[in-house]
Amino acid sequence: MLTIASAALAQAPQFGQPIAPADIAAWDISIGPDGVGLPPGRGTAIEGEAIYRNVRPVTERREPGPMSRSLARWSAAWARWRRTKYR
Amino acid sequence: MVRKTHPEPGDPAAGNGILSRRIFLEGALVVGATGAGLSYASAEPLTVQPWMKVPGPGFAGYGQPSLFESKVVKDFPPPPSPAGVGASRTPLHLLEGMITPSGLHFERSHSGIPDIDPDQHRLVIHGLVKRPLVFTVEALTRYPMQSRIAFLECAGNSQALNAPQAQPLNVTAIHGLLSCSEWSGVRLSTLLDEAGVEPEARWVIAEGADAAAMSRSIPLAKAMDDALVCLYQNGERVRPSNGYPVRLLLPGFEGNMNVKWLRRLKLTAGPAMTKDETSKYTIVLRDEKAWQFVFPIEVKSFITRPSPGLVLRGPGFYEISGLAWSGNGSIRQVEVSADGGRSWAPAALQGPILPKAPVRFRAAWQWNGGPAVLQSRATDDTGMVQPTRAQFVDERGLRGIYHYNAIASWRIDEMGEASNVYT
Repeated sequence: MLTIASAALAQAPQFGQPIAPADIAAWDISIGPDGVGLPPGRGTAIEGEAIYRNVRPVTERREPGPMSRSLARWSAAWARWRRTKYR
Repeated sequence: MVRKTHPEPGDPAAGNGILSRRIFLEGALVVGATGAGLSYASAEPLTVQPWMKVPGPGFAGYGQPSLFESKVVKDFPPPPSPAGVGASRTPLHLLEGMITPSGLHFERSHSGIPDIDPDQHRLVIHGLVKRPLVFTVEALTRYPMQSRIAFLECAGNSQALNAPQAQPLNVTAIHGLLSCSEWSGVRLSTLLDEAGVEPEARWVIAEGADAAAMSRSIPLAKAMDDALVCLYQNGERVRPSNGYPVRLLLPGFEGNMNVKWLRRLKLTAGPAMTKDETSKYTIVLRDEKAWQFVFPIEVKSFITRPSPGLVLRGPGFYEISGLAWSGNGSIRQVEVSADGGRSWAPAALQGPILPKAPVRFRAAWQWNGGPAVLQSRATDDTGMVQPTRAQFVDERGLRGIYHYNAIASWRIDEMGEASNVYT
């Protein structure tokens, strides 16, 4: 399914405009899992957590139900795993 | 004594009153043969109503439902939930057929609904391509289009059924993150071929133009297969709540991957591991492992009617109706039970039966007024069958949240009221 017949391409409609990578830069916010694409700088997950808590207001929550508790436990476990893997 | 050579439509096909689906094929029941008619008293004399004497309002530019149907609306968390929190759910127990009216299509967003000017919107294809390209919306409308009817289901639909105790919830609250539209748009493969995919590309990162810029990694094989860059929904332009002016459709794949307000497609060698394919949309299992990249929605069904909030007014004949669907293909059959899964009979399937689209199923039920537990069980054309809740829990546990497709049960009590139960 990945082959392109150049003869067929010549007859197909083509309405895309070429664009230089530099002109895409404002939208290209993709960061690879290995960190490729990050802007300059560094930090740890612990430092990031403090910044996150300052920026994001804490909203009032009801007592979490059984599903929320299990999700919270899993989220905490995943956050711990992330801290060990990306120090 | 005359022996019947073949079952009549009114004969029971399964326990606790399930009748043969041949009723739907052969037309009306013989009243009295099954006791199907209620014995009504004589009706009152007919009254001349105001609308029979006085002309009503004239035409409107965009039609709306009757004010008498004002209960048929989506359900969502009340304000002051910030924009993007939660989802807006379809009241499927109040609808018929398989198509969801566009105004009632469920929605989930992460930063509210962006107000996009279609003249300013762009779709860029870049990364591992020979020719990075950008498309205006007007350019996209000039390509040959395809239409297909397809379901969209949030992978988190029915997650309330993971709760250890059955919660007193209705169809909307449990199953309301499912809808179906006819989608029309340009094959993504057409646009990718124009950009020229490099041989080392294996994934496409799809990203939205909203403030959250939600993104997911899509296998290139799916992008080149039946992915559609959609401009139209049920004949008109895609609604803002469903991705105006351009959204991605990946038939059969979990809803989150069908990126709305599509602005960017980046060809890559590997997945990006975005938040929504790591922190979210991964299925935690019993042994602390998790499934990642569970793309297709598995075979599933539930009964829309009877269901909580729709009270049965006394014993007698009722139609059991619901929806069945599979992200892996077409529905092959749906079976219905009125005795909690002890016995089953096939339901009638409302055509057309389409791949990766919902099917309306119907079963005839003679309710004797006693307790009943209604269930539906769907099989798709890969042979996959909906598991029982016990089988589902045995395999995955209850922490997975996503992709809950086990058989769902409504208990009917002697008052004719339905409630969510586990069997």
